[in-house]
Amino acid sequence: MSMSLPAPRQKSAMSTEARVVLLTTLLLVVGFLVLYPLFNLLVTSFQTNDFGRETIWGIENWQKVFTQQRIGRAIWNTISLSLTRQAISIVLGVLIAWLIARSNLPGRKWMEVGFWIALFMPALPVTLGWVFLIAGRSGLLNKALNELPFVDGPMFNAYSWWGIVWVHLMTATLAVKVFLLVPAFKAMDSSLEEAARASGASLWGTIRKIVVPIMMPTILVVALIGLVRAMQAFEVELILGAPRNIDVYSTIIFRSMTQEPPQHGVASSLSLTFFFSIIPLVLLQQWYSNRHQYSVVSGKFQHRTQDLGVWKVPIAIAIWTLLFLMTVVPFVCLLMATFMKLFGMFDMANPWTTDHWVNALSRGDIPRALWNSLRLGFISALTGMVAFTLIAYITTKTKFWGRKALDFFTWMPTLIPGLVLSLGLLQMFTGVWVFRPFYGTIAVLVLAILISTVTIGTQMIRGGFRALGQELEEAGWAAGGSRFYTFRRVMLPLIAPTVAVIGLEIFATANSAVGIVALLGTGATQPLSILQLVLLDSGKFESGAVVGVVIMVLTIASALLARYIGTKAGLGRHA
Amino acid sequence: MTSQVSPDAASGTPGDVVLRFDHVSRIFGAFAAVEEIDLELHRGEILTLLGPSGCGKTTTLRMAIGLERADRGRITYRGATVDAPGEKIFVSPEHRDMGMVFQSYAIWPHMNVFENVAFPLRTRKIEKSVVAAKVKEFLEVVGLKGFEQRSGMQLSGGQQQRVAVARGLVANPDVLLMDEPFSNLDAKLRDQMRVELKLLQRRIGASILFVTHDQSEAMAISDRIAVMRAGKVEQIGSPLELYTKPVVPFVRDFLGHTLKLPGRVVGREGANVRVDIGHGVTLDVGGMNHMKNAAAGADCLVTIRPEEINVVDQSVEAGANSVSAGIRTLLFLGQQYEAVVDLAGGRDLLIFLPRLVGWREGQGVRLQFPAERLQVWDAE
Repeated sequence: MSMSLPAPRQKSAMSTEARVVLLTTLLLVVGFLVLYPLFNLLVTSFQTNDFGRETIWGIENWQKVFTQQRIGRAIWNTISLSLTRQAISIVLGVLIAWLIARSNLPGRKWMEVGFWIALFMPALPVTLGWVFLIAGRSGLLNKALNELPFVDGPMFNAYSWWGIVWVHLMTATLAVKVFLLVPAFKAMDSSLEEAARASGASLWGTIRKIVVPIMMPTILVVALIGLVRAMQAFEVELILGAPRNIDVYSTIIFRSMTQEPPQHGVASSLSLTFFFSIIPLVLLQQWYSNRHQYSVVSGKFQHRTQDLGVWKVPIAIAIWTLLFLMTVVPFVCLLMATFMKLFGMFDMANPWTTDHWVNALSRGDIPRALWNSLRLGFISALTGMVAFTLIAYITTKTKFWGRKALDFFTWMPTLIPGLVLSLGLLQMFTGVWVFRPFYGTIAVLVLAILISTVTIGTQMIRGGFRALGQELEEAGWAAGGSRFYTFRRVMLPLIAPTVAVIGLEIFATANSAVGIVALLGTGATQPLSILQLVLLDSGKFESGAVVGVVIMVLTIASALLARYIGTKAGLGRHA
Repeated sequence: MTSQVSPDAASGTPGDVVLRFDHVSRIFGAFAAVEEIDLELHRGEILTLLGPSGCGKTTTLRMAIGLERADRGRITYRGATVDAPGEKIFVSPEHRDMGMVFQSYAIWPHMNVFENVAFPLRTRKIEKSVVAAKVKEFLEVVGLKGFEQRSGMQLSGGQQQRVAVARGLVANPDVLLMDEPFSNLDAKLRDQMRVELKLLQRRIGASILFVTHDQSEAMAISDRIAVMRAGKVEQIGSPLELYTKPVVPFVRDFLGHTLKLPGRVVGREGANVRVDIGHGVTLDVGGMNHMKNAAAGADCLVTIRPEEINVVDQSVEAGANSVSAGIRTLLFLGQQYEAVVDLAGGRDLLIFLPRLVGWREGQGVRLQFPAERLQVWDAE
């Protein structure tokens, strides 16, 4: 033999135990970060004293939740608004997803990209764009329509119940449905549809009687996810609901937190009420997706498209118009607003100005907030990529006893509305001595962003790990690679594109997230998203629009980059 | 050479036991996937674990390299214990210094062929120039010279298979483990790879533990076969031994075709057992007697391999141990005919007939059963 080979080294069970200790520590840390805010909310909800005064215990906060009329109305608004836009978006979403995935619609690949961009469009700037267009009398579109002889007064009003529904539909609500359903529809065997057509069913009949029933499990899961997310919505309601006093529970929490003195107790009990009412929905969704995970996708399938015939062009035009409304229109409106002397006032002699941009760039707070956002984005993305990959790996590829609990913890933040989590984290950073030094630093915001992205991050990377055959890794061990060496040389390169996409997703979230950081990002660490919220809340729409444009450019750029990386690495089906 | 090299590895001679399983069990919950297995892999042989799916053969293989842990017993490799739960000894896969070929080949898609094959050497911190030389050598051995820069995704199934074999062998392991390596190949390629593997193994003298559910593959390739069922080894022996001298009905039925004629023991005829198979026919069984008690009157089963039956036209004079029959259907398979023949009493048998004799459906024939080829078993 020309080569020297090491003899088998005896490895005792000790090092395995050390690994278990390490993993258990990780489990405890993650568990603490996720559960502590909840625990804290529970404690606070029983404290009835004013903020900063001596602690008084009582159940008055809970009584208020169930007796105050304003809260009752807010709860009704939350439910009715959520259900309405979910009902509309799921019907449209199923149709559009089917058209993109299964029909010969012209330009369907680019439509998918369009919905991907729409998914990333930050809600607050988009809301502002729509305010510019259809806010009562001053709305650009309303004014134009008013010129028509038979129109009297504003046609549309963004500051209304339907305005809220509309703006939500124009942001992530519809886009996320398409985004989640297209891959599922693509994985369906087209011979199922062809058999229906061959049996005499029309195209519409095939969709109704074959496609929808087969895809029902997936559709239900998507609808439930949508409902949970809808009930957590915050910033659109805050801006559009305010003038007409349309409150939802999240805006009430926000107001009770930001009023003087802050009503932490009421906010906590209200948060918990919603937390517990969302749980059944989440459990239902999990139960359903576990049961039906593999019912549709099979390894072997035909993928052919259905001919739409004469409807091809009209449908394509309709979807392109929708995408135009969802992406280009709000962006252009927002951009226009930044160059106007007074938001939406075209009647002035010379309405255009570059003052807002000059001001924005010369004033300290916007560059500082931009710097904060970028810093927050990069730090969150980097730590998130490492932490989520680690958690995903542990929960899919190891036999660690606590892996199920770890996975469960990563689901928890989905249950907790961003604003509620923000409150919990605020309490944690001001209340627990270990964390107190971090209060007021960017670490607080990083943690908030990580907690809000942990679910999608770990679940997507988990999906990536699961798609890698067990044997790829085992072959590495069998060939003599240690666990870490094999991970670095075999698993990491294979999972890297997914991780990169997640990194960009975290970056985009850090730039646009409002709810989760609303109560945390103040003073020196204030990121762009919060600066915008503050500007809008105080009526400075023009400066707010400038910030909005910056946010939009950042998020759309990272969305497109994520898309590009994902498609190049063949992640199109998962990502 | 450094002093790290284990003495066995350097001075092994053919016939030594290189891998040993002593009473090894693997339990999943209440289910024993592998139960009290004893196995010895000798240096330079191909030992095949053969059995239906779920019999524990893959679990056994995975325990050999440490991808599964044994729950009881002891696994010894090159004289050193690598897994003994009783003593809390467990050597992880990367420290066992074996090679393995996976069912899916597990060719890493982000590495080219060279990098895939070089991986085991790189993990062993082998010098770069040696790595390059070794990879080149083994790619030549498996017939993939010039494929170094190809990505794993650009290879056909057969080529991926070769890369996997080269990767398994490149670090000169004392044992190569192969988990159903040919099951993803088409029939023709599978036959070709079998021959290649056997030639390769003979050339480099590797010891191979091979897993398959395909009995013809096992018989073609193995020096010895361990037939497994329900977590246990039923019989170990050379292919010929298992085929001609099965000791349990499972092995008899799992390997090749077996014709079964139920009957009743009549008595002894010298060394033979005389069996009445009904309708006035008696057979003298001179082969193995598997019956616990072959007393007269006991129900039994007479078995023979179809190709061991001598078929002649009915005009040939009836001798001892012969039965007349009629050809009901005749299927031409190319190298021979497959025929269903009717026996008296409505029974039928599936037999093979040589191609070079003119056969026709409806023809009367005589089946001659050589006494020494017949075996007798307890009735099922």
